[in-house]
This record gives sequence, structure tokens and C-alpha cells, in this order.
Amino acid sequence: MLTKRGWDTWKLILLFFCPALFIWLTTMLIPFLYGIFISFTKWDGISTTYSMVGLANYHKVFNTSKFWLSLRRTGIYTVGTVVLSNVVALILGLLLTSNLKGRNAFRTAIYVPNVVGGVAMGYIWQYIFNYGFTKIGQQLNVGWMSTSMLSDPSRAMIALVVVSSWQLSAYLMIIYVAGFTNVPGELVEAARVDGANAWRVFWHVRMPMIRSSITICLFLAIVRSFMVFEINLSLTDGGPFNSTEMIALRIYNTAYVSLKFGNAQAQAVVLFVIVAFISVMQAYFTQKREVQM
Amino acid sequence: MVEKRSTKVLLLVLAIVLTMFYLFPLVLMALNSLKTTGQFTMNPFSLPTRLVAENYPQAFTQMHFLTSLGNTFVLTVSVCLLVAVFGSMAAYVVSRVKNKFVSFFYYFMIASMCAPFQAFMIPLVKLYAARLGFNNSLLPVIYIGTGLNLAFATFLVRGFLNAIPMEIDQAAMIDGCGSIRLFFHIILPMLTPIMVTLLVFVAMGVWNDYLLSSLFLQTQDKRTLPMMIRVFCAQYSNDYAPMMAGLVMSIAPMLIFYLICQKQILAGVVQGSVKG
Repeated sequence: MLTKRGWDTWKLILLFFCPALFIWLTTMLIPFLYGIFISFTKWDGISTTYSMVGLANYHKVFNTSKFWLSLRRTGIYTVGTVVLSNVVALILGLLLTSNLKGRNAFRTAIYVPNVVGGVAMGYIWQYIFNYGFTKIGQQLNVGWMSTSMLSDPSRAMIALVVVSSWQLSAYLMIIYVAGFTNVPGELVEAARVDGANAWRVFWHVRMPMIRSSITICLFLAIVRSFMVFEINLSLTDGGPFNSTEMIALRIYNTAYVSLKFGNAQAQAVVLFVIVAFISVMQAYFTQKREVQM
Repeated sequence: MVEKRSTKVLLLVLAIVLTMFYLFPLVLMALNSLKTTGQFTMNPFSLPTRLVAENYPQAFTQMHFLTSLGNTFVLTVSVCLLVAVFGSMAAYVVSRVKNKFVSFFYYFMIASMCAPFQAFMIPLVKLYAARLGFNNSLLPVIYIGTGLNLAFATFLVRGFLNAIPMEIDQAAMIDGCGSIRLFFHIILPMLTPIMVTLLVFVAMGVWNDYLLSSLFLQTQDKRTLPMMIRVFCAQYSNDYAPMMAGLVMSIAPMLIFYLICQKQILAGVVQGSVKG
């Protein structure tokens, strides 16, 4: 029984919802499914023909040390960036919600690194590492500082973590500021009256109140770090000697430098599974917390 | 009282030092764009002894600045328009209509927001460039850029729409207003605040995007600003001063935009973070 109202509803869906649905299907769902198909083929990206190879790409991916190395590197980079950026962002968030003159101006200024795109940012830092820091090192006669971090395989990763955290912490700061702002002032006041010192107020009153902000920021940082691409490309381009090639850049290079599209897509599917797993964990943790409260 | 004053000063000093840490790369870039390359390599931290303005015109022509600025502008405005129209229309349906088909795909779209772009990269190029023949054209970049932002737009606007009472819709319906007119004449104007937040956020992402554009655009006349930065920095990797000038010019438009819309941008960061 399709009443006039029922018909009107479908007309509305067709006119208003389906255009967006169509765009989403053709740019996300269909390409994604097609991507899974590509991961079962061998294709060089140029020829019009390809051959089905079944699970060979996955087999190759999991048996290549380069893939595991890059995954491990991404893991190390993620741990470093997540910890550093969140600690700094927490301090910034606390500082910029305290009784500070001109705190809005400070927030605006500190967020600026996020306005500049990853490519430009990477190049600016590249010159700072190659010419700025080395100059200071030479002048002060500090041996390790007088050569560029970016040309040293053991230190290039540190540079990458520092630059990423520098940018990401400014982003997370905004979320922490919102979190701290929502902590009721009476609660902090009551704790102070009861004789709690600044540290205890922070640890026992403020921190529990911003738990949801912490969850958001942690997962945001994890997902972002796992998918890092532009800064990786422009700051180190995976070098020196592949020591900083993270998984997203590796997928890109496998496809567009080595022209192994099937293999690259198989790696992309693995990355997707990892990120999907992290997101499910996030949903789980967020929901669990909501039930508790 | 004295102690309180000193902590206040201490906090202020700490804030200034931290802010300097976040801004010094940009300051350094601006400073060095006014020096010669010789001065730059001698001491990147010194103030320019005399202002060298030549770097700017040199970078301006070598970067084909106006062309790439124009391309980036067309791309960003197109994506914003499409996302605004289709995203808000879809959000309206999701918010107002109880329907299994709609809610199924809505949650599917929301779930897709967290997927890494690398999972779509190769199939997108194969579908749009190889199969449909959109080579070296802004069109697929605009279309795909829209698709990648639609789920977020629908999600964000839906949250805002849910807070607008249904009675407004019903009153208009009783007055004989059809759903299309209702949406465009009554609902859409009420969405202005969330639309500004959404579009400012989307615009920043699209403006700075490198990867998607680089997959579809090859020739110099089609390049966007982030692509141009990469090509320019690779080509003139020994001539730092003009490169710094090029970087300053490519960053400036977004920086100005940010200073104008900072309130919306920072609001977008908070609202965007609670997705999922």
C-alpha cells in the first residue's frame, strides 16, 4: 500500500538523498570493491590487459621483508608521534585554558602549522634541518648537530616524528582546549577549597573530566599517523636508504615507481584492514565509556 | 598576591616561548625569502642585510603562480559548492525521513569516513583516468574530492538539522509548501552557521591536497598549488631564496583565509573530531 505520503517520501529520497548516494557509491564503495578485485590481479598500470593471480599478491606482500619493515617503521613512528603530540597538546590545552592574558591570540597563532599544507611544511622543515640546525651545530661545535638529521638513517625518523608532532599537537590542542573548557569551574573550585594542590586538581578532577577528549585525540593521532603521507613525501621522501618509508608512501611507490599495481593494492587492502580495526576499537571504547557515565 | 602575579608572568612567558616554537619555521621562511641564496646558506638565522625583492617576481613566473592559484581556486570552490548542495540535501532526508534504505546507506557512508585514501587510490585512477578517459583534467579531481567529503558533510549537517524542530516543516507543509521549496526556502537559510563551519573545513583540506590532484593532473597548466610547490622545490633545489619566496606566496592565500575565518576553522576542528 503506497499511499500518497509514502510516494512523497520516496520522491524526496530519490531527489535529495540519491544524488549524494550516487556520488558516494561511485567514488568510494565501487572503487573500494574494484580495488579488492585489482589486488587479485597483476597489472603494470599501462597495458590494457592484466592477469588474474589469485592470492599471489597477498602471498608476496606478507613474505616481503620490505613490507614488514615499513609496517614496523609506521608502528614506531605512530607510537612516537601519538605520545609526543598528545603530551604537548595536553600541556598546551591546560596552558591556554588557564587564566592567561590573550589566550585566544595564542590559540590562533599556535594552530597556524595546520593551515599550511603538508607538502609546503615538509619543504620548510627540510631547509631548517639541512641549513638551520646544522649551522647552529657548526657554530657551537656540537658534532652530531653539525650534520643534517635528515641524511642520517638513525635520526631521520626522529626528525619526522618531531615535525609531525609539531603540527599534530597544535591540532589536538584545540580539542583539549574544548575539553578543559567544559570542565565545570565549581568542581575545580570545590577541590581547591578542600585543599587539593594544582597537581591533584589536574590529575583527579580535570583529567577524568576530559576522558572523552583524550580518547578522541589518541585515536585521531593513531589513525593520522598510520596514514601519514604528505610530510613523509616532502620531508624525507622515504630516505635516507628507505629508512623512513612509511606504509602509505610505500603503497604509492610500489604503484607509481615500481609499477606493480596489483601488489600495491594488496598492501592498500592490508592498510585498510588495520585502520578499520583501529576505528572499530575506537567505537568500542567510546561506547563503553558512555555506558559507564 | 605576589606569588599569583609571578605565576601569571610565568604562564605568559611559557605561552610566548611555545608560540615562537610553532611559528619560527614560517618566520624563518619569510625572512629568508628576502635574502640572496648566498646570504641564506651563510646564515639562515640572520636578518637580511638589504631587502632582496627579486626572489618574488622570479618565483612568481617560474612557478606559474597565477595558473596554479587559479586551478586550486576552481577546484576548491567547485568541491565546496557540490558538497554543500548534495551534503545538506542528503542530511535533510536522513534527519527527517524514517526509512530503512536511507539509514542503511547513511551508516555505511559514516563508516567509510575512516577508510585510508590509499585503499581507493589505484582503482579511482583506473576507473576515471583509464576507463572513462578523464586524463589531465580537473573534473575527476572535483568529483572525487566531493565524494570523499560527502559523508562528513551529511553527518555534520544532520546533527544540526536534528536540533531544528519538525514543527517548522509541518507548519510549512500545512501552508501548502512542497518539500523542495520547504528545503531551499526555509531549511537551507537556517543551516548557515553549520554550512560555514563545514565549508571552511572542507576548503582547507581541498586547498592543501596534494595526492589526489597529482594522480590526475600532469601538465603544468593544470597543476594546483601544492603540486607546483613540489615541482618547483625539486627543480630549484639549489636556489633557496626564490624557493622560500615561492613557499611564502603559496602559503599566503590560505593564511589570509585562516585569519579571516579562524573562529569557524577552530570550531570545525572540534566538531569534526567527534565523528563516528
